[in-house]
Amino acid sequence: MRAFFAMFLAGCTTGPGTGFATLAAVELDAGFAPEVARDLGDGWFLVDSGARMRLDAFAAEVGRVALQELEGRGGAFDPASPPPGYTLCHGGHCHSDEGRLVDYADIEAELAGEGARFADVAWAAVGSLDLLAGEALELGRVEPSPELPAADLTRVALQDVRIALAWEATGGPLDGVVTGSAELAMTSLTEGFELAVDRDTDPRLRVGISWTPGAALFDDMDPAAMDADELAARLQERGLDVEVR
Amino acid sequence: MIRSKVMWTGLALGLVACGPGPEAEEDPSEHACEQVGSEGAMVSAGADADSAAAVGIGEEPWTVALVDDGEGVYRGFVEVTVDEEADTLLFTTVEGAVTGLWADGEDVGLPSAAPNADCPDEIPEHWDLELTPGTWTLELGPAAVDTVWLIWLDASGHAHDEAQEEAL
Repeated sequence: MRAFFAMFLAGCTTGPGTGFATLAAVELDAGFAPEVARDLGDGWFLVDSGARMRLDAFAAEVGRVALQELEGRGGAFDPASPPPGYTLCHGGHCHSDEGRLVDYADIEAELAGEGARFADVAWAAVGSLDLLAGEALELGRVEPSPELPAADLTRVALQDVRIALAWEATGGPLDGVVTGSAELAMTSLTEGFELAVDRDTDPRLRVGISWTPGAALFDDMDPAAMDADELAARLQERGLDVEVR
Repeated sequence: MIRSKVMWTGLALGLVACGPGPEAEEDPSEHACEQVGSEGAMVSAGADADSAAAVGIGEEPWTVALVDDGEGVYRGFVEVTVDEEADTLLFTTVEGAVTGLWADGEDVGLPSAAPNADCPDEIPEHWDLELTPGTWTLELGPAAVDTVWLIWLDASGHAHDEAQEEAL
């Protein structure tokens, strides 16, 4: 009787191959989305100078999308009392003194110092994306396993991102039609979020990620010579939208 | 007997002192979401910063009519004047329309925008703006739309109030 009871208990514990929740899928929506106030139709959009632009290409190669946990924690802070250099924390972001919005996760990593790093807990391969046409992908093959271990997930990352852009612009302060192109390489494009995977987590999860840069990406830049590093920085600041379903 | 009276008096005084604190103000983000269906006050934007139309920081929204530049692109300027420092929140339902911020004629640049977390689809952009005394001018456009809805609120109640939490 005791042996049977012990075996029953053993069967009820979390054994190898089972997690606290199953990540059923990662859904990725990616597409260039001009803001309502900027969209002129037929692919044309306004930038802040008053010039009109149209993209001839906006393609990306993404290695994988990863859900990450901050290892070496110790950088937790109270959003009601932001650390030096930051103010007005809410909705998962704080305002930096330079006017940027910074994720809580990135601030925690900064406070935790050199010993902290973001570790991939689960990931899925992505591939080629056409952001002009728009993409809606369901990435069903999750590595190393869709069975998630106990973890405090605090960041989503698109990793090994290469982007190719081409455009034409006219009007506003421009003389005639200006064309241009740029190639960007980003180690990662990240967004903070919070998902505690534990015994209280829904047993089956889907994570939805939207990557929808808009016309403001090209504001205050010369269409004849756009700086690739500045474009990459703006893509990072625009970030991603993440939803757990 | 006297000891009992003192005790009950003390208890009554203690209950009064520990009674409910100041009524909590509505969170500005929530208030902004509630106002989305209201046009509020209508105003015509000025064609340039010098002729900016006056709007106010208050509970009601504004629907701002922009100026057509003759080529189907719309622009305009509105302004507020404040007498003392104020932490404020500016919300708009029209993403991409608010493009500049000026303080007493000086371009100070807009900080980064973020959706209203309480209603991100309805209010895709908001800014936390710390205003010093003076005149603050918003540049609207260039835009493909001819009106912009916005509401400019005092930020009280938006962040956690540590003093209030400690008093509870």
